[in-house]
Amino acid sequence: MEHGVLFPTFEFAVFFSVVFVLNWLLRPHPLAWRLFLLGASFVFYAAFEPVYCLLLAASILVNQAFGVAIARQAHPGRRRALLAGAVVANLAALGYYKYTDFFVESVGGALELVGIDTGWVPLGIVLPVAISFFTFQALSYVIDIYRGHAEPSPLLDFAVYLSFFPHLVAGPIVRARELLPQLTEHADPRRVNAALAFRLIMAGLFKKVVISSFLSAAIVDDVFAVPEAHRSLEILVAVYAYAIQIYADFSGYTDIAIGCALLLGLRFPQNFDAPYTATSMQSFWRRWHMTLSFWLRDYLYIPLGGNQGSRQWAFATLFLTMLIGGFWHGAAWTFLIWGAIHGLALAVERRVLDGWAAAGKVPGPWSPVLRWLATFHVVCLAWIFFRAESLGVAGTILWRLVAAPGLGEAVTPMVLLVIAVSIGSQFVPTGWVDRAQAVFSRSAPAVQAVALAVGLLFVDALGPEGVPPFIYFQF
Amino acid sequence: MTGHRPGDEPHLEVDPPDAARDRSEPRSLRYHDLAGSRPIPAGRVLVIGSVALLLAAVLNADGLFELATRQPVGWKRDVAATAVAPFCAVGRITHLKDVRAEIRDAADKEVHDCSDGPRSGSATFDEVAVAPTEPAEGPAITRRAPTTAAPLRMWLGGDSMTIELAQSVEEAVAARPEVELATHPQVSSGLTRPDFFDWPAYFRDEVLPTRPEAVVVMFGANDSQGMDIDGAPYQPSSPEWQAEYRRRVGVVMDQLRGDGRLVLWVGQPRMRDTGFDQRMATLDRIYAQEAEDRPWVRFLDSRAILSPDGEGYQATADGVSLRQGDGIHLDRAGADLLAEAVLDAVEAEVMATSPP
Repeated sequence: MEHGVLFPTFEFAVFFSVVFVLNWLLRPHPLAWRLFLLGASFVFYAAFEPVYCLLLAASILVNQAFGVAIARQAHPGRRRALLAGAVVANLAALGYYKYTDFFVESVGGALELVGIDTGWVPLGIVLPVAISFFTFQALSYVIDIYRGHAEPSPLLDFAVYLSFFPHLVAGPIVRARELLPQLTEHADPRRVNAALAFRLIMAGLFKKVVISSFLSAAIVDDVFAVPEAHRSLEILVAVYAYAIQIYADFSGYTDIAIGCALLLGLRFPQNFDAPYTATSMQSFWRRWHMTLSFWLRDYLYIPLGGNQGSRQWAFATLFLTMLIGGFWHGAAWTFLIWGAIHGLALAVERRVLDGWAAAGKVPGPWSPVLRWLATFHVVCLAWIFFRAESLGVAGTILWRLVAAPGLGEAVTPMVLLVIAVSIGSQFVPTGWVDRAQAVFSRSAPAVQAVALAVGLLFVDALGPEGVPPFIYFQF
Repeated sequence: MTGHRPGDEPHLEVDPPDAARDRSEPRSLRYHDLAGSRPIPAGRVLVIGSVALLLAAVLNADGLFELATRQPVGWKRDVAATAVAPFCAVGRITHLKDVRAEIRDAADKEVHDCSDGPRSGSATFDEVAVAPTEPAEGPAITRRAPTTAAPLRMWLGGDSMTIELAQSVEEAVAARPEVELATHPQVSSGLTRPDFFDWPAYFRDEVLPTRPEAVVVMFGANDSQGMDIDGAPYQPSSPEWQAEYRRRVGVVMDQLRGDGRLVLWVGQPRMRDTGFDQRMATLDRIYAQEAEDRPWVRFLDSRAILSPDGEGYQATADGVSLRQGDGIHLDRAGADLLAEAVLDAVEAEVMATSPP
């Protein structure tokens, strides 16, 4: 990403300061405030690529039209047809940008294997940032209206919701019924939950700029680029490091997004909740990228009949849901395998736990530790496919994990320390962090300002040169 | 982070236990509970945030200055540098900016003191410039048969185009103990902006002391931008710029010359953007011409290699992607093609087929 205004940049600090002031000045005037937020969001999006704005505007108009039409239609068959139209329209746009080339390459390659030369050439379609996110959000709006969980909002409200810049490019996936009611609420400018917002923004900056960048430069990038040149212990540590890196990078970014929205008086749903403390795969998915996993559950798994029918059907839909979740991340076999590993692990886990429960098995004292170890390593195994550029690279990594014994040079005490501290920090009780936040919120404004400035000092001093790219933009 | 009890279903609409809460509010928003924190007025948030940003600007004056001077040569850079100056002055007088320098020292990172003013960096080209000498007797490039005990010392680096190239070469020689490879791809670098990354100094201090027998460089992707010549900005279209760039290419070629060492200068491939492609073609011509006068330099034209089907920019070949989505950088398959050509050239020039 060369362009666009990313959160950890000087430009964004300036942009956000201006938005913050005007947001609170205009808040008492509903129409002006909405128009202002819409304008600011489009300016933010245009900084990536102005032509994308047309796509976002089209998504707003089309989905609002479907939402209103569904709400007005009483006939069940026609309602279903309208919903199907909306889903197809959204997925067709997403599919064109995201999956056309994958399809062309995969099908063309497969036909070539059986001796048919298609002469198909990938079109080199550029994936617009944010499309994966706003497509899912728009679908939540239309489906909720169809289900009777929500009423269509005025066009301007829906436009503000879909384009709102903090969640636009990389989530969290905020649902219509989470954000739209907040637009009509009275927000009290005298009661801003700044302590939580500052905590999220500072922690997010530190995770994203310092931790993620350090690990990628110190070990992850080199090992995943040329695994042939590395020994098994180096590869193992690089996989652990990547688990931390992607968590730091992605949760850091969404923390900043949630914090920025909160400073503007709008609350986003939580997206991460100490995922590496999970002692089961199910628990992991209730803590990792929650807004995606719950979206998949409510709009994919449940409609597929995942919680009804036979146990076999439940396992199959679970697997399929995770497979589609993997494919949502990117058009590549590696992402499909990542989704398949998670789907399989969830299904197997559910079957085993059901079996234990039926047999009346009581967990032993070491059970949480063993379950934590198993969960973490299954997640790490899946991360190998998520990070690897190709199946070949993933295969080499797995092979050299066992076939290239040795220490290697990339494993430094600092790398190990950062990994250990990052995992350890997820076990810090929430209550402690809340108490620290409460102390901060009750200290003098000058003290708060100094504390934030010192935080920014460490982020800048320990950060890399320039702004590192953000992993999750490609999704 | 604030959590909900494991097993809670954050997105299910369940009546929250707190009766004061809006019944329709999704539980996913509940973690915004104040949890003992005191909410504050927006005006105070603004004051705290502004003071924090201003104080951080003083503490990070060196970092901001670096950010400012990284702007393209011209008025933007001057404006940015001027804007940072007051923070730099306050940071210097109060010694507040020393804290960052200490932290970076401890973390083994570079520190650029903003009090030193903008660096032009072009002085190094003058420092390392050597007087042209008559070619020595005998071959310009020494050939030998490397062995595992005495491997061929090869160095490869340049701008971000060499990130994937280095990976592909590394992969190709991973199973060849008779080749000892060192690499240094440096993002955003080149010969136009030594203030950002000083290649002549890097060659002098880090590369030449290791006595490489083959040096492979690739520059240019970041070079078609304004250049500071004796304190004045010049754009790539001007004859002054072209003359200075040509001089710098020659200086580096001469600097890298060594006792029978091969300097393999890799040109830039075709680019998707027409204007950018033309600017790279101009630089390629300069490299080729300068290499011609120097028997120890070989110019490797990457355009034919990365556009195997003909003239123009080529994104894919045989169903695999040669270039990344930006239309500039190499994808691994493209890098593999170029790596093969690089290794062929190195083998042809410096590796004797039989031991001497």
